[in-house]
Amino acid sequence: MLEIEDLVAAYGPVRAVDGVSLSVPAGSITAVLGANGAGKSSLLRAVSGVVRPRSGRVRFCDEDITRAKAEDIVRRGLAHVPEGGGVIAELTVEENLRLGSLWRRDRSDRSKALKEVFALFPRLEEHRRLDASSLSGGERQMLSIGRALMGRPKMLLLDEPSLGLAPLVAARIMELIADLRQKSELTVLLVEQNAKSALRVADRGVVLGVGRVVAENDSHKLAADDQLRQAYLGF
Amino acid sequence: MTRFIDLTLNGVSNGAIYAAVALAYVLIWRATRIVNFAAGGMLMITTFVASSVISSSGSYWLGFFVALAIGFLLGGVVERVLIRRVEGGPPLNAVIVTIGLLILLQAIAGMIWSNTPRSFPPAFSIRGYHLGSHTYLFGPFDLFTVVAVLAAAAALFALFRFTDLGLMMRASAFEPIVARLQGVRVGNMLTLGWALASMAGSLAGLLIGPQVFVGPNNFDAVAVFGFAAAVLGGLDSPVGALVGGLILGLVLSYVSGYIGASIVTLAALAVLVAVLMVRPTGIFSSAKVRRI
Repeated sequence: MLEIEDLVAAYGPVRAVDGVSLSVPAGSITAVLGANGAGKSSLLRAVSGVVRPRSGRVRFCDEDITRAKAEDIVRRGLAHVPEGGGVIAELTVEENLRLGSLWRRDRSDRSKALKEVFALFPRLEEHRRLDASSLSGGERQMLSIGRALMGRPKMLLLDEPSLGLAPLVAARIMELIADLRQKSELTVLLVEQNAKSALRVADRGVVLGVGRVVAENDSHKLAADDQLRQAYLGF
Repeated sequence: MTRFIDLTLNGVSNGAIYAAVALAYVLIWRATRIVNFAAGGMLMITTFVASSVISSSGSYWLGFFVALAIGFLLGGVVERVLIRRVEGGPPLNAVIVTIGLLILLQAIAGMIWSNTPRSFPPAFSIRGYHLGSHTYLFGPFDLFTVVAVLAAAAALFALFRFTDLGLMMRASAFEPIVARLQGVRVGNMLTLGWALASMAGSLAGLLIGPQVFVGPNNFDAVAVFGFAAAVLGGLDSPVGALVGGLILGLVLSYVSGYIGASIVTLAALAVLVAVLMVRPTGIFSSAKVRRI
């Protein structure tokens, strides 16, 4: 569903993503692992159009999106949930959610999507009129995932959804991701520093080290590779 | 006592105008984090346009609405053509561009309409209402001024609060990257923000025109007062702009009435300095303090 070929993304002279190739099959959960500064977030930003790639190619559903703008890429069904969720604190919970669907023409389906997200996250419905700044970390993460779902995407790019959450809450988020894949047939590219919990839900894993792919395999094989675990995954 | 009431009424109607100018600064600051030093020049141009349309067509209201429309267009074009290139860059670049634009607009206005100020008609009579033997410093045009500014502010509030477009504009102002990831065309929202701001400025120009006359430099003072009002209100809050405008209008009216008209500009600057010293984020600001 998503094919990345030899992608290079740079901030000035620093090549944060230095020739990464990987492909995400439809219906899979693929985890991108690696330490801080390995280029995981930059990879997602280059794919979703926040950062313009310097070279390489990105194809989504067999169409080239390498130079497409972020606002057009989300319209094709590829939604990016940025690091920390990107919840807009000044807007209410409901406004944040609605924002995710405003580009869609079909108004009745927009309110249907809102009902579905509220059914998935009853906490968000309880707090719908409150400012998003009043939510807890876990609720914010749910809000940002719910907002991405408002656009009925085919695929989610999730940037460290468990970052800064209590272990129990993080586990619930991981469960949710597995559920979404099962029920909504979503394809997921999951960036995580917490390799252990990511590999538990992912089918496949890609390990990044300073802008390059250093390993790529099925999740259970990666988790079983002692050398890799010690060098890159930290568990 | 009647003098106090007079000064208060006069302060309210002038304050409404400062509030409209303050809105022009605030909407742009919110959208692009730029202080538009050309605001006074832009509203000067549209008031000149109104003056030309009124004198050639004989219809005040035609000139009024043409000026608002031109203001809307001018704001959008300035953002697209000039500001787009300095957005997100070093703040000083934007400062220089807007100051350059101000000088350019004043020169162009002088070339087209001459540097000699001309009178500008009010929409309604400027004679004060009578009550008993006293004629108040507040007439039909002052009433119109207050109502027009309140209506404009209410319309903006409704746009931001209750429409999808307003939601997209707010999201673009607060978190442009996040907004883009939700499919919002942020560039268009910024253009629209500038257009609406410039239209609010045009309204102020039409309302203050009868007092200051129309000339290339005649709106400099109101541009400064509007900026002081915007800072007073916190620069990023439209409600703050309204309240800031009214407070400044009242203060300047009392200063002018009780101390002397010659120190009004000084008083505006004193208010500006005092606000920056005591509460640099303004009264209504939600901005967080940045420590470096």
